[in-house]
Amino acid sequence: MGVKEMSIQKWSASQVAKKVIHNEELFILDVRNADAFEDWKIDGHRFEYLNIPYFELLDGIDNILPNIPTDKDVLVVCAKEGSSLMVAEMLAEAGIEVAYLAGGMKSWSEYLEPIKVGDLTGGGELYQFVRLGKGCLSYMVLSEGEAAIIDAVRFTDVFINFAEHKNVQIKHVFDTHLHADHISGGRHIAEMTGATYYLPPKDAEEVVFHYTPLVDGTTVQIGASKIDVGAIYSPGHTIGSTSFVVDSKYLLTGDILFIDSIGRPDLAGLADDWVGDLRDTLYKRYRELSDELIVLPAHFMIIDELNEDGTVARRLGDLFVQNHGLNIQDEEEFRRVVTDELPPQPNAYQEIRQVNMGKITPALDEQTEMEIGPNRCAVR
Amino acid sequence: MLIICKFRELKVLILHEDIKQEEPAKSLTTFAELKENMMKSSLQLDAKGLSCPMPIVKTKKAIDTLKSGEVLEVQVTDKGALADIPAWAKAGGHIILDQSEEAGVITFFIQKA
Repeated sequence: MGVKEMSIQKWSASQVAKKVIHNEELFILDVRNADAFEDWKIDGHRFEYLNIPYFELLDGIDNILPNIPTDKDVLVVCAKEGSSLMVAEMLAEAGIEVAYLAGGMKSWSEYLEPIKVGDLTGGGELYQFVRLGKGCLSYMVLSEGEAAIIDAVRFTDVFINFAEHKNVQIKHVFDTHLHADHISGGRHIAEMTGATYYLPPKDAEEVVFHYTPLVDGTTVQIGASKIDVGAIYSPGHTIGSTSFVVDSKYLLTGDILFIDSIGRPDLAGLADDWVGDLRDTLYKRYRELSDELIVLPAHFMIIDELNEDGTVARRLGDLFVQNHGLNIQDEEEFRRVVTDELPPQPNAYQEIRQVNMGKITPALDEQTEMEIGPNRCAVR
Repeated sequence: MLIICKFRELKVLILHEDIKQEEPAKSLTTFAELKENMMKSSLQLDAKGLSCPMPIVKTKKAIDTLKSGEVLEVQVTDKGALADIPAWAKAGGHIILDQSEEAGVITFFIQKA
């Protein structure tokens, strides 16, 4: 009895991102080795997973056929697409309707989904660029032909093309702090567009390039109307960590405060010194701000932090009630939470800091290697 | 890392770290000689320039042609193979006798289970 051979579908990271954001069902056959799968995978609330390294399937896929569902989409995933294509072909020959992820986990890690967060005074807009595969969040403030970018990741063409498409000129590029989990594209975007690049000086003591110091109170105006981007010095994740208030409505907290957690203070090697700063920022400085501000962090850790529209954003007042890290009354307990039992540091965090300081300039494939795995910027 | 293997019916206990040392010492010279003998590969596979999954597809095909105990020498350039070949070997009970990298080329000596 012959089996009808199915054709293979080729899916892009963008298609998978839509399934994540819209809470759709998906069955993922991940054919990377077990260590890689345990480190990170494509997260979706209604996703089901089967991890079988591709080299265990070289003799055929008959053994796993009973475990492949027929009532939902099946996506085969591997590191770069090669082995997922091979396995998808075997499944298709056995009559299974199947898709593979073009570019593999590499393309998933690099994919950026721009989502509008809201409107600003006088017709301006604020966009969040969600890097689902790594948990990084970047921002663009647009108003009257001008734009500012905050915490850009290294895919500079995405930001530049987006600005072009929106008919705005990038004038200001900020990094809230020296990042340790991902390579910043900020400096390069500034170089390519003639924009000013800002970095907090306390994080920039070792950088080898020219930058404009970002200090408490630095304010820039975007467009002719008053979209203020105002800096608030908020140390604790790094000594220079800086937050931004945009249009008196949004609080961009960098890696100090997340939706479901708070920033870890150990990624530049000085946890003890900065625990006090972290507590001051979260429990004093932020308490002085309006509860109505919408918090927009630089990372998310779990997809539960995403809203229905795919954005990662929460009212500051709500976080003061719901976020455990903001409600540890005892200072000793707080110190313990942010220094003991921290998750492992992000992959290659020391090299990534060196890249962001301009000290090393790795090739593209080395950059990809450095950024493998989850961001791990929070205390849990 | 501990490697226990049969070499012409002589069971030899080798400490991997010792083999890697440069200082010449009488006992280590013996280890070096032993290592060289062990790694005389029965088959050499050039998988340079091939992308995943081809390095492992070819390695598996090659090792299938060997007898138990024989050694396959594989050269790859694909970075994925760095983690995948040891994982595949472990799953199949094969032993990685040696692994080295030079100028982007990774060479494995794999003894068939």
